[in-house]
Amino acid sequence: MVTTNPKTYPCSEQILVKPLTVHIGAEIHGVDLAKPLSSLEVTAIRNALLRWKVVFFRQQYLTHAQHIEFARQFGDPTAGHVVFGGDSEYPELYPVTKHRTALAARPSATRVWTDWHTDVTAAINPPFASILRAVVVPPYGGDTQWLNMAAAYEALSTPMQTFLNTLRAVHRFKRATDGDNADDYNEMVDSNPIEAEHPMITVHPETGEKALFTNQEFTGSIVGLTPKESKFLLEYLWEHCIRPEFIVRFRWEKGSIAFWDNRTTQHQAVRDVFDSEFDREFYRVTLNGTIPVGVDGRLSKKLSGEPIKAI
Amino acid sequence: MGLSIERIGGVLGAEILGFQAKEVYSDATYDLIRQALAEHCVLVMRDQPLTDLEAVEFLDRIGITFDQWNITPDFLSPDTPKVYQLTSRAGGSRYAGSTWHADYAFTDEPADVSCMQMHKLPAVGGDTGFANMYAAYDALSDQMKNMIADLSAIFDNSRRHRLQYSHENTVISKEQLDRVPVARHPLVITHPLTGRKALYCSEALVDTIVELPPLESKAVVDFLHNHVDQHQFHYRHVWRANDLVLVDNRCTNHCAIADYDIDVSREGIVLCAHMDPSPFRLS
Repeated sequence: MVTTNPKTYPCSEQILVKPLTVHIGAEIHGVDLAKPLSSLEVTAIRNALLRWKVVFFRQQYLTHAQHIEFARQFGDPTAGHVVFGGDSEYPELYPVTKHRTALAARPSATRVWTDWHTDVTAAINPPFASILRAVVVPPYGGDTQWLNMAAAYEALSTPMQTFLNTLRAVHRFKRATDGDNADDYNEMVDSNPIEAEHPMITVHPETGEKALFTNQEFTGSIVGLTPKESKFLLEYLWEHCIRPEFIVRFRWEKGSIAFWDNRTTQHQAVRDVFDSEFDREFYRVTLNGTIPVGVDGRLSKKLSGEPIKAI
Repeated sequence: MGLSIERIGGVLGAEILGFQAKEVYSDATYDLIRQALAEHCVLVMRDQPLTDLEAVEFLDRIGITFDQWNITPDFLSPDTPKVYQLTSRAGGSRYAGSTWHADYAFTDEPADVSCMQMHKLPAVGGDTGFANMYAAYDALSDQMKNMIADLSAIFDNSRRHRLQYSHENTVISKEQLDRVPVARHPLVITHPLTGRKALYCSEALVDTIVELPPLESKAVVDFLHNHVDQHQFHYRHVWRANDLVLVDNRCTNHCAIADYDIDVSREGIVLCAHMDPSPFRLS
């Protein structure tokens, strides 16, 4: 429950944090990301990130190099994408384009954007955060949504929370069953099988906040439950997460930047841009994460593949 | 005494041989039958033509029969209010019991045991399905068993009427429906005779779990109903005229399978008993 609700949260003389919904999302104004940040600015942005799960900046026209430098002030970048590779000149950069034509490693394996997900939870150490920058923006359409998985956990009943606190699930890159380039895509997935067992409820390493940690892109089944139990529970939870009060929808402009805490969110690119002729070209820098911890203090377990490394 | 018990189903059901329902046996014999019923969920006795009053006398030797409490009193036996007449004839209770249920689970004192007999049957069809609720409970994972261990459900008779009669002009008025009580029971009960745990749920009656908010409740309830509705927990009884069937409602759900031409009459009786001890009056 939010007990105070000022319109804005001033963090310093210059920096202004403007929440967009009750549970998730804030715009940060009064900071120039192209320049090295002061320690006060870094702290203010990091606190806003932890509080609001995703923060947005406007009119920050960064170069690729500036984007990477901005990210490095908050963590260690990984390769653009752990399976699909990154940009050839800037290996930290992952191009997110309408048809992923810039995908360096294997253009033939490109697939339509995924649905609601948390990034790379197949790995034992899923990314801590991602920073996405808009370069080519459709005049309308192509929004992105984020949801707050800590709020989703809070909204569950005590019996359900108690049940989930004891459960762990297997996360993996799921093979494509149909659609464009399924064979090429599956070849890439099969050549680098990454699989981990994570707690269904994680404890945030910085805030201690409990969050639901499951997403339909990567979560296969819950350990120890029967297949039907696992199916009903996951389907219920995935439906529960996407209640509108947990969600913020962001409308991009050229120069917009989104910075999200991957440990307590899911996100989804709205696919309406595929029903238009509009182009959309974004770039992402991903920051390396630690191994999640459950309510019982148990760490996630690697089942196959290597941990994601910083570069 | 040449009484013997033979299993007739994979997961539940046994037939008692060498037994006549009209005769009076020793207490030890009825103890044996009560125990066998608790273990096999359903006991079948063939060729037992009984009057309605004889059926009551028989069941009173097993438990304590009671007057049928029903919102359609037109179908009580003319001879005794303890016997309810099952009939598929027009204007009758044609779709009664066509969804999984345990008898009188919507009351504070459910029937521990029911006794059914068919007198008139269609040439084919009109079977009754039985589900072993011990087996349904056992098949849950340990985590799921823990999840439901302390939960209770609301058993609401009006759900049955919504499910069964929505496609048919019902013989039940709104006033009658409004008089239907609801009851709350634990989702897991322990059978006093076997000491085994059983899922106590019913697709016909259970909409909500008391301790969960509506959407969680719906998800868990839908899961449990689908779980019970799996063939490995079921026995399907193909009736012969004058079969007498005992059902232990503490570990069994049943449903009437309305797969026959309902204008062809299917007629029989059902009567119910409380047992001592009962998991419901203990709780």
